[in-house]
Amino acid sequence: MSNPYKIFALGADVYSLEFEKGDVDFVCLRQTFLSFPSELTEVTFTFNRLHLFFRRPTTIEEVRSFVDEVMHVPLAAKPPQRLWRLPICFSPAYTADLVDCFEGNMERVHHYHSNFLQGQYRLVFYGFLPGFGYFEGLPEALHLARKSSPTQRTLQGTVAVGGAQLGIYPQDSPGGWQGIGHCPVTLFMPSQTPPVLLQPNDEVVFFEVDEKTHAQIVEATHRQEYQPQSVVL
Amino acid sequence: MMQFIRAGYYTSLQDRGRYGWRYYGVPVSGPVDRRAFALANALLPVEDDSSVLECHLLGPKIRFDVALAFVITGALVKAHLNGKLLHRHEIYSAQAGDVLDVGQVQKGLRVYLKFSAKLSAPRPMGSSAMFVPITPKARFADGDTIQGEPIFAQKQANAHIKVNDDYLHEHGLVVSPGPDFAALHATAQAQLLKTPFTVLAQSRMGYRLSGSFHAKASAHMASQLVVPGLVQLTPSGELLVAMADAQVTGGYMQVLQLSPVAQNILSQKREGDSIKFRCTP
Repeated sequence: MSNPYKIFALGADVYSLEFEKGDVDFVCLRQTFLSFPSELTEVTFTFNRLHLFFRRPTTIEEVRSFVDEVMHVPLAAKPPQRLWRLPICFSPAYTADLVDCFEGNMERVHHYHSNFLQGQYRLVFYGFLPGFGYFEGLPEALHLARKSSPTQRTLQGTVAVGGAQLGIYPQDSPGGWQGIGHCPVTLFMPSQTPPVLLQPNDEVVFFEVDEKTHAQIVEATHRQEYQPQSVVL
Repeated sequence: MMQFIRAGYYTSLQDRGRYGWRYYGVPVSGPVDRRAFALANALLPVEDDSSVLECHLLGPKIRFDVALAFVITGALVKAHLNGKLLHRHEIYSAQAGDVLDVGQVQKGLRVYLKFSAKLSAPRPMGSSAMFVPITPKARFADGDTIQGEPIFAQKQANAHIKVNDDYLHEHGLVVSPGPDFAALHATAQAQLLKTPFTVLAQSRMGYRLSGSFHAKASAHMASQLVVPGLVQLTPSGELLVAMADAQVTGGYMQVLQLSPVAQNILSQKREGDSIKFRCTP
């Protein structure tokens, strides 16, 4: 590996490495850095940056030489990547934002939904809230401008679009993204290890369920009896 | 072991924090004032348990069911044990039935209370720090109890140390440039480091600051890492300073990073207080 990168400091013990997007598999790169636990306590990433949490205050020169050392180690193997089939419900209670976006034009709402169901979306990383995944793969025609001011309460399970990004709210929360539907599956479970159903790099396709099926899945989820389907890619 | 007759304005359990879970979007949490937290644990160390009570503005009123030692650190506060006035940074012994009343904060914002006991609080993801949805509750309510195992409190030789409290009166926050500082116009950079800012609102998540500072911030940048002490500039021209419970990523311009000392200074500021940034060379 010899990818060029830029370094940003966030204090004396946190540094971010910025790569050209698409250059690096961050899941593998993170795993590679995690094999240096004497230097690092945590490694995370966002769209184009890898974030290194050092055990002790470190100078930028030390970071550079450490990164150079790690870059000479063979990249960690790619962990299994799964494709998940997640249910989504488009009943009016869950699509009010989208109806607003299209000023009540239901034909455009339906068209949006049918295009959305054809997509396959990749979980890039978790942020914002515990278990809030940022997904990529939304075609440009499905991008939606964020709300001009966030709403007080976006419901847990809301599948929402903010600009080019797709996310699923793991809990009730204020939110500025446009709800396009509802996914009744529990995605974040704080008492389990790992606490999430999906791992970064996993892919998701959605299938539509009607209100009745949605209600059944909600109940089964409460009884912890609903397990969405997935296959290893 | 003890019960809250009054929980206080916002009282929560905090230990050193929840490390290793940011990958899943879980913030570190822990004390907002790490200095007062470290002092409490140095004065009254409990093996394998750094848990303290973090209180804001009005502290709790607690009845002890067992004999316990305790110490108070952080903001200047009026506190009494059975009506007898207490001082911070001194270790006191309470008997079963005694009542500790931590009242109004006089100077600063956050008070820390450490007990000579190993608390039996749940530790999801390795930490007792209260944070929803990792713990069911964000703070204590009236009538709540805390269970635990009292330990023999060894009176520390330095139990009467003079503690320098200057940080409660300090208004200068030492900062370093954040990842997007260079993207600001030179006049905005200079203004940011010259203008006094006022605290508009604060919580364990962060501080909102405003001042006569007008810089054009880019809206909707790609979400990047947020750590405690990071100063973000919103499109409306306000500053958001991330604190212990801040979300782990954010999409605003990242203009400054507070030093650890500056984070502790800010953690004792409240609505209406003013601060100024000072850049390290």
